[in-house]
Amino acid sequence: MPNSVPHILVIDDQFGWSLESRRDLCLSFGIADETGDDIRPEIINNAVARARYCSGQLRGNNTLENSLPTIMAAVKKGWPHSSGWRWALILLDIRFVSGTLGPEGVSEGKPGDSEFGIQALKALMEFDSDLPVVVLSSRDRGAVIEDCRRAGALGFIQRVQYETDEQSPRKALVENIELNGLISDNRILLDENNRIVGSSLAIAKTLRAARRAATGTGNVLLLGETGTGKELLARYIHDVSPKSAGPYIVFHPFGSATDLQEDELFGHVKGAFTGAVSDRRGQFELANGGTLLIDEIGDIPDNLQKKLLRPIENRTICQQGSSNELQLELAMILATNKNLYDYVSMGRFEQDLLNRISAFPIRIPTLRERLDDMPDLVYCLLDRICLKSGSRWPRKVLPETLAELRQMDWPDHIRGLRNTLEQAVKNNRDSELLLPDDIRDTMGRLETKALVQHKTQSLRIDGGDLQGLIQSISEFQVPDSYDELQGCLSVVKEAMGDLLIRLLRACIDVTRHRSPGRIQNGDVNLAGAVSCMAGKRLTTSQAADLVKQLSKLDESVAEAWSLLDRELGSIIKDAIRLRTRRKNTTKRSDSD
Amino acid sequence: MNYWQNITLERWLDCRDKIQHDWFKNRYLVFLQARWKMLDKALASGAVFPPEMIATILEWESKREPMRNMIERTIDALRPSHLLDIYPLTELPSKVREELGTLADEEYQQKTKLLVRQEKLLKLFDEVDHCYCIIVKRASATGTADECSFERFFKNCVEFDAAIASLPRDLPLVWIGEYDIEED
Repeated sequence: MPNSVPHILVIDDQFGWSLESRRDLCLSFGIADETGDDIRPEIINNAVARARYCSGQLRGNNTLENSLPTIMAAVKKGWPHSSGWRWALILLDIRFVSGTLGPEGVSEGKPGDSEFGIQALKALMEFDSDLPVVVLSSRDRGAVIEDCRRAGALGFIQRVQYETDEQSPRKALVENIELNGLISDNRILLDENNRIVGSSLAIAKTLRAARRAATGTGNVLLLGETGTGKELLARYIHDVSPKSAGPYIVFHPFGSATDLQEDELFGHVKGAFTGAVSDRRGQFELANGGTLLIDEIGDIPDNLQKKLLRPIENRTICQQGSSNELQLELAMILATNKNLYDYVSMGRFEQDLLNRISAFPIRIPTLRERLDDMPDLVYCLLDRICLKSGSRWPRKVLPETLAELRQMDWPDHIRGLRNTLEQAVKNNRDSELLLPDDIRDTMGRLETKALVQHKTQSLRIDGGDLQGLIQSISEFQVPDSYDELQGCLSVVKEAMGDLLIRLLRACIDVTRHRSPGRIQNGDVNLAGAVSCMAGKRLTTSQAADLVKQLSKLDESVAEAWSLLDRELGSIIKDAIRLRTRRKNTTKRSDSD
Repeated sequence: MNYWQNITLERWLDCRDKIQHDWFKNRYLVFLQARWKMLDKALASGAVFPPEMIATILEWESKREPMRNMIERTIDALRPSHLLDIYPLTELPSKVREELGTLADEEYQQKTKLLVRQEKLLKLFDEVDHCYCIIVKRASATGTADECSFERFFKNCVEFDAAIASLPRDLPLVWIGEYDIEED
């Protein structure tokens, strides 16, 4: 369980108003009531969550009215809260009893009461589909779960259940927080220097995906640029999985020569080859009962990719030189910074292998996608750096310094941040403050070194960054005067058309065919190029259709490019000439 | 008119929501779930229960009768023949409506085994009520009582509640084909 107790919101008419019922619920579920309106809240030992309660209703003159704005206000207060935390889970009731209050102080009910919860759920999902909403209901699960799932709920908790060794309300809540909740979790992995730091929404979602993958039986594929922390996340998955008591083994293809990688993974028996003087267990066997991480799976050589198909599918291996099959019991995590779909289109990665490893793909956010974590990351890294170097710890990081750090690009992500801070500490050993200038000076020095090639999702256009371009477009201030807007369509179309054609050219260049000897011979791979651009696998006719659409965005631009670039010109012309198959033609064989 | 006479589906569902859902499950069972351990300890040691807890336990007294009535009216309420009171089925000749209604009710009860479920519900209700009476007798120290505990009471209540929850919540009317009504 994470170190800090998560905050949850309970939206329920009964528990919002009735303090006796609320105390009972808190006791059953192990929740501490933080709402602040109960002078005698139930004292809970080892609370699994800190809850605030919202009735979802407004009290009028002897009436209760269901109120969406009341619910939205309560949700927004903790999304995120002014002190930085955000709701880990929102428990939402389905039936909210409203109307005139009877003699016993109970509402008579109105039509629509049984549907108000679903209405509220839809409104919450429209506000932010990342909200972790779980239905807390006393209705029969089968009756409501389908409607709730469709409306966006992540799970369901019965408010009453008979306690056994296997189940209890408290256990049900803990399980829901772990599977569906957005919680930071900075448990120690491996050692004090290794923990996942941060509480941003991006990292909370990643950790949630990791916990879900850890409880499954399929292979986990971690996708992330270099320096984003794939190995740390792999370790986290192992630590929260049922196999956490078993070994954790990491295989790096770059750690050994290509011809030795097979031996490293599969091991050998004595006499398997010259020099095999004794049996040797490979990484697969060493990880039996635990977890094996194969890092940089995209860089595994072709011959080894084929040999991995069986172990990855059914955990069966043969040591080199042996015909005996070993059945293993282990969890497998594969990690890469490559776009494997592109690699498949380019013929550099086996489609069958991709199918087997992508049961649970998890994308790790870049540092720019989790800038909210910057203060936590900076303090944690500074702590380690100073401890390691024996430097005086900068006691304070100025807000201006954090702002400066947030502005930076971070192509090397957390690794880059660590390098920057290391340099800054080294250059200001006895300083008690980390100033913006310390960072600027350090960045200036780093930029004079050779730039790192980024092979993954970031694309460079004329020295710029595609992500940066998209950000500029989204932040662009649209003019509001007639004169400025007049004729804007043709200008924008021309620019967009030009950009798209240039992107196509870049994709064509990176996806040229390989000959059987695996040397690029320059043939254009249209399907591969357009698949790369689209980010998914396309057939040749789908690729041609897409090229047609691109060229039609601004035909004058397409024509201009065709004159400048003969190869591109003929690709576009060929795509335009291809006709889509008519629906009433006789069906041909699948090989078409 | 007695509320329970000629009970319609709508009234029965409303009653079920108020008694079983809003009170029994949302209030009574939530209370028992949280407190049965503490209550059993008090029962065993002869300690005094806090007054607000006694009040909650005794809520069963006032809900007992409406709960039983609701169960006893299950078959009456869940009759497809009620749907013949909805236009345009009301336009059918009365003899046809009567025969169709009887046939639909029999068919429905055969398929849902509603009578068997109602009998089981009444049995479960009696077990809950019996357990309640014993506990209250023990707690008030009047007369002798068989062994019973709040844990058993809670367990019986959960089983009873699950049985009610499994009853149908609606009688959907499905239109098949087109239906023309000749205007006069």
